[in-house]
Amino acid sequence: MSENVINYIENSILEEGYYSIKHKSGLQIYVYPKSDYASAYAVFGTKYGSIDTRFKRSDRENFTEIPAGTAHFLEHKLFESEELDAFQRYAKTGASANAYTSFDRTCYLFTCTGNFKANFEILLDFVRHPYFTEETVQKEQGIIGQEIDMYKDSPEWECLFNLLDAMYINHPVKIDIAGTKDSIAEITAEMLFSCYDTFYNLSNMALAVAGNTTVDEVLEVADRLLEADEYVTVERTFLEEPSHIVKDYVEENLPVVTPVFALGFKETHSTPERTLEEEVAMSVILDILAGQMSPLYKELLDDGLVNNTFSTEYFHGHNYAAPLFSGESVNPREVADRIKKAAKELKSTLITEEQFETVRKKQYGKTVRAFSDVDTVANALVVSHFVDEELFSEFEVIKNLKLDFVNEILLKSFDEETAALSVVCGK
Amino acid sequence: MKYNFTNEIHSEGVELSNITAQGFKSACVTINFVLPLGDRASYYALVPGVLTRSSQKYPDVTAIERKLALLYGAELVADISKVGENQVLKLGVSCIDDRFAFDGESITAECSDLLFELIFNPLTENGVFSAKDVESEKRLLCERLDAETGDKRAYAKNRCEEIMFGDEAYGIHRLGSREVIESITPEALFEAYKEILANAKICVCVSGKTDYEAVKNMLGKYIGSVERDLLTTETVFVEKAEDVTYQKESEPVKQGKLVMGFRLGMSDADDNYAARRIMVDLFGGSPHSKLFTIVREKMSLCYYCSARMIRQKGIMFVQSGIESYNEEKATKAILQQLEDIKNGNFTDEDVEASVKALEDTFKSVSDSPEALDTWFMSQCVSGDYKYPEDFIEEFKNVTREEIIKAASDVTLDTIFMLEGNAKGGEADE
Repeated sequence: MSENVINYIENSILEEGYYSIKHKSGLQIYVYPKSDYASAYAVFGTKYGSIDTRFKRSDRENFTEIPAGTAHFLEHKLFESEELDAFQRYAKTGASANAYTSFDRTCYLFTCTGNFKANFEILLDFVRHPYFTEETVQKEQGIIGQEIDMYKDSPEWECLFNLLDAMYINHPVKIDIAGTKDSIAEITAEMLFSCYDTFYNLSNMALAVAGNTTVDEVLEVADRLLEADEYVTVERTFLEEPSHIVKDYVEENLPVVTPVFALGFKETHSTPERTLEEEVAMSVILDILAGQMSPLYKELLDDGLVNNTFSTEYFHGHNYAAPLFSGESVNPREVADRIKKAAKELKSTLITEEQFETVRKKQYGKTVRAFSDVDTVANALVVSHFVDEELFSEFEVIKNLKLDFVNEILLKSFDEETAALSVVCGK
Repeated sequence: MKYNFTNEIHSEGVELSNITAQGFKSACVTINFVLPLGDRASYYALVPGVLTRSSQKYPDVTAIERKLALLYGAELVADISKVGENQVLKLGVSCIDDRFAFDGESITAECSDLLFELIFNPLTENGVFSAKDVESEKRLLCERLDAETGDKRAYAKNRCEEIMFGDEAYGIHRLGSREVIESITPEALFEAYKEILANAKICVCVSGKTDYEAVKNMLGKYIGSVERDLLTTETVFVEKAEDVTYQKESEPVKQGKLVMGFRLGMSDADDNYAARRIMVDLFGGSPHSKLFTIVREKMSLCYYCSARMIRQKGIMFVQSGIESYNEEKATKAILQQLEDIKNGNFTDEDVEASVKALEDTFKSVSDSPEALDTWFMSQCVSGDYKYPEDFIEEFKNVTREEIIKAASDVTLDTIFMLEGNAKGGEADE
């Protein structure tokens, strides 16, 4: 058996750091101690999200295709066991537990202010011991069906997925994370075991703990409970995504008073993932173009076209990327036109040194602040691991970001030909 | 984190609190205005938006936002809440700690200056707020109200409150009403602003490493020139519901929303609080509660189903999302869980789990200056400041009998059902 390999990574600005541990079981573990905090937060994640619908284990022959919503379904089922479910077990030790499935990962987490080791044992135990039968799978189809319905009533959620459906032709990002009532009806216990077998291999997972705990505590439990998995990797495949969009406008009726909108510019890149530099550069651009100190925001606000819900986001993941603008407006088409016009203008004037430095300061402050929350830190450790970035590198990226690079990205962005607008409004 | 809380009376109805700790990465200053919840609610609710929209030194949103960006992404807080039958306006700034500044400048000092500038030096035209800002903020406030109408979970809860508290001040929405907001003129709003400064209980809270004395001096300077006339109110506690009011509405949504409002039998906010809080947690507060484990998990009657206690009014709401045809079954099942607690059908382990869960929630308050600010300022109405630890001790001492008694004190007051009449399945293209 090999040994644990431990490294300490420190940040001079924050004057704190974390341990990066290549655990002998094959799992990557991160421990970010904050001894003066009352709470500790742990998250155990697998790089398996709603977009992973076509894949194979490196030691298998054929690719498998699974119904939409399987990752989320599996998340629900893992909380169960033959005896007490995870919630009941946590209730005894005193932790607040949860789980979430996103486009590219599934994470199980808890937070507590005492009894860390006992809670941590529960987390490692239930995620490593799946239990479900055809009967419990069927029961879950009812519960998740309700969840899907609930999201169908949410104007913001519907608006986003209608937009993705208008922008993407093949990419599974366009399908609701929970799937559809039809797709989850196809899920069987056997299918769940096969997905578990592929994605819940320790080499495809990461574990992060932040807050009131120590490396020794974490490793004592991990060494005891984690047995090595045979080393496999997961190969994912995606249907080729054309660069054009499906349609430039989509509308749905729901009982809202002020219409909800989302505008996206579909991007096509030669590499599947966006780098941290590109990500930071785009958030600088979005802030200058449409953030609260932009002339565009003031104009939209003064003209009665947006309210405080107006926001921007760089939406991206494996093989998809799109800057998004969303909010509520009495006239979403007018807002979309003005955003396009402002983007065109910014591309002709380019970002100035003064604008750039102001936003850089803001970005730096936000990054510092993010390190206050144990949940943000632990989740960020898992996410950085999955995209192969180091947690603190954002500081370096912000410090070293060059205006020329940002402007270069600006010039390549906001192609009106690939823009789509989604609106949810009352009848 | 280890922190220190102090509180002092500045002058009648004006208090200053200071929360200090080593190691926080951020700091915040908030000014909380406590006002009786009444027919001026719409006016008061409009003031925070207008104050944070412009000032003499920062004439528009762009100038304010630019200043916040230069203060390393400092954030403005403008929040309106209901605490018992009080309307609380919270205006604040939070920012990163001074040690992170590039050039040794004091971020926190500039943030406090900015906050006082926005509140006490508003941009005026002919002695009142700028008409353009007022009109724009009226629209924003109305759209916030509209958004709650669009969010069916919030809408159903709001409707239940309106029906249940028809004759009580608590029935007034914290943001007021569209009809009144639309009628507000810049002159009338400026009057309301002056009322707030004169009549509200004012609680200033400085958290993190901020120069407390400087804030105190600024407060003295600005409040010293106001002619104060403090107005306070006592929240009415109705201990028992006479009978059950039922109302139903129908909307084209897929999931139905069932909201039930209960009276907890409290005569004031401290009346057996600890036992009642644990009872509510057992009933529907956490994942080991009866509503979650039985009504949601075992009976599969709803996607969400939880109970929340509102201590400052002595009430509890159960909110759930259900298939509309399950309304009767769900109502019955929810009430049955309460009966079960009354009949002592819960284990000591259940109680222990609730105590642990509450302990967790209360202890973690100390991990951020913002959470500590929220904790202490939520008590500024009474001015009787308790630490999270004080409650943890009380929770630990609650007995089975007290929990059973707390459940027996509960009476159902109002049921509001929002029926979904949209077809199931996929959304229309």
